[in-house]
Amino acid sequence: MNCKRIPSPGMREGQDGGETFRLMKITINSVEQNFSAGTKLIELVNRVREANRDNPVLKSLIEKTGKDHITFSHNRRIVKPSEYGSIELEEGDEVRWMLPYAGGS
Amino acid sequence: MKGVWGKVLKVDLTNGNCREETLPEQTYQYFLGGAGLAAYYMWKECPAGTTAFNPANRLTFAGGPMTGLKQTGAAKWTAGAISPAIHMNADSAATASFGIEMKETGFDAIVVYGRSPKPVYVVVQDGKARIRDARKFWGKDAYETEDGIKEAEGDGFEVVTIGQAGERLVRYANIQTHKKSFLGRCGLGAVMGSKMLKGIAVQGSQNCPVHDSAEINRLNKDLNRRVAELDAAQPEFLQFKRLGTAGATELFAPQGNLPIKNYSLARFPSGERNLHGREYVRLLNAKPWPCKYCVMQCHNLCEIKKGPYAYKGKGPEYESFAMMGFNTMVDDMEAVAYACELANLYSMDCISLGVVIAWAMECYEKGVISQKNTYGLDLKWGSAEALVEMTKKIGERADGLGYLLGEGCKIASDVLGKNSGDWAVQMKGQEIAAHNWRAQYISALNYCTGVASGPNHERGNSQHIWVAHVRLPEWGIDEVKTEERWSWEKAPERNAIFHDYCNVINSACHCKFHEFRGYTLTDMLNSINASTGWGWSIQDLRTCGERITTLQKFLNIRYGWQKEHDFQYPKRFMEPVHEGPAAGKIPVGLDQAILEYYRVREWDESGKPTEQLIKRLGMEEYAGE
Repeated sequence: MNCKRIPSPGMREGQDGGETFRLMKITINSVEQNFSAGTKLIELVNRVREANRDNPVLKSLIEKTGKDHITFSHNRRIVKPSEYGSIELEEGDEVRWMLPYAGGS
Repeated sequence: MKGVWGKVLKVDLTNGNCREETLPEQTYQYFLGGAGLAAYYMWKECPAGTTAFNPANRLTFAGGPMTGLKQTGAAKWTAGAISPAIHMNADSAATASFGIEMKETGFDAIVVYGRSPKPVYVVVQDGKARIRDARKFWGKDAYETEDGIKEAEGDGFEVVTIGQAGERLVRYANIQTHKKSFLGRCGLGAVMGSKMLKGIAVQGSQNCPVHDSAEINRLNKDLNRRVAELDAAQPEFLQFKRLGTAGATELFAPQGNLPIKNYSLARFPSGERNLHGREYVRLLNAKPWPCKYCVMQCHNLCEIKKGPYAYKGKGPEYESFAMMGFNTMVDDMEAVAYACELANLYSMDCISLGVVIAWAMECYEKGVISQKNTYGLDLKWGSAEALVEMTKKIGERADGLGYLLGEGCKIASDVLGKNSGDWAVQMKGQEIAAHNWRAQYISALNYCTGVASGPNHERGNSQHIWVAHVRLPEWGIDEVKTEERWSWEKAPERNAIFHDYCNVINSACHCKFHEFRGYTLTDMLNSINASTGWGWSIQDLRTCGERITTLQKFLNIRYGWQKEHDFQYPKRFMEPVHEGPAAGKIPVGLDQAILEYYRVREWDESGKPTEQLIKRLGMEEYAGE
């Protein structure tokens, strides 16, 4: 799950519209990815939500409970939705996101 | 050697002796344990021509390097043999505590072969084994037998047993342990019955040395906490502790994934209402019944206190619930749960049983059979009485229809004729599981191409990409779009990845349900490395999965698989439903996707591993006869 301004792997800085920015490595669901410094968790949350906008199970859950129940953990701690906006990601952070159980056996 | 003993117990029932065998570490590095070890013993000791009920068939019970790590999910173990349903190699996994106790006896596996002249059970205790007379248990159900063996052998034993269906060679007889967990698929209980083996009891006190016990402790603490927290973070009706996988019926309805009326309908409103998770908890008084070390606790102890369906015991899981309820259109929660528990007592797989009874109901509806064949039962859709009574007749292998249905719906339709094969939802002799291919085409591809156990939802669980939201980002499955449910573009590759994944997890021996709570391939890799000291990379793990899949493919070929079998899917696959989210969806293009799967796997056009693949995996010595 990539956020904005993602250059090729291994780069430590990049450019976007003439603006130079610093990069950092974040592990998302066990895979290391590049993010621009200053990325907040809420940006990742919004990307995940957008990518799953058409998911029928999430739609059903939102109808039933008012929430999508996607769960995020940051450095091995589950994050409360109220904290998404206040967490700024840092080099070496580990983020996991998990869609709610949709059935299965 | 760390994480495994390198020792296997061989039990020869024909000659009544037991002996120890050692294995080199490379065998474990190639095939891990569990499903891989079961396949290895078939490869090593069951030549072409060996059939399921031949004494030469090897029935292998095996743990792996993760068995007994005191980590949530690490109570898993596997058994494998040539199956009487698919007539090829097969394996099935269970949990509870048998696998852990087996490993503590000092053996990684118990390999049973031959046939005893009289009913017996095997007792394994701290490196020693003996064969005991089981005549007094023959004819008893699986739970009575477990009680009897435990009483005879004393406290502390974990036991596997079969009921009457296993003794009478029902082709989908299962093996149970602890009255709650089952080697469900492929008829391994009938293999046990054919050997006159009624049970195995194990007790041990030996801790298998691991490479890095401090790292194991750290991982256990971290993973147990994380999985428990993630489960607790779900809304109550999605928590495993509350109703296990039975809650899936409610979640599958909006996905079109439920099997309804022998897979011919998309909706079953009274079923969706009455077989609902909320009703499951209320009517069945469901309480968590966890396996050893498990924090997810998906098993339920249920109790119906009065009425014709009163019982206390195992609560049905999703597959049982869907097949015995939705697929037969029986919407009486208590009747469905009771029929499932009856099947457990006889030791029958509820997936196959539910398909077989639904198939018989369709035969009855279409006039292929009548009340003359059904012991006077009105075998109509939705009849709770018919469901319960037919379960008994099949379990008892009653003369006539009960016996015939015990053969599975392929053989039964061959016998009855009258086009009844058109609605037999089976492949290669085994009934299809409770994941509807119309909801995600990859399920059809998985059923067609599975090599571990024929068509099987847990030997290739690619349906979980959608129906359980499982991702394997380390192996390239991360972002997935909803519309890809009905696309073939990435399906062959994803299907191959999930086949290898299942082989790794069923061989390392960990519980797949932990995927549903964020357990990752990296977590599994770290645990295997801490256990064994092998220092594997995530790619090494995939290569191991490929090796096990390839070995299973060699076995398929040895036991008679031909390319055409992969294309002989049920006619119902191409019959659409007309409402719901999967309305009009049929897997057109499936044949081409199967061929593409061969290509992705580095198999040739005839569906056999290429020399290039065999060389890359270092499997030259395993190729050919």
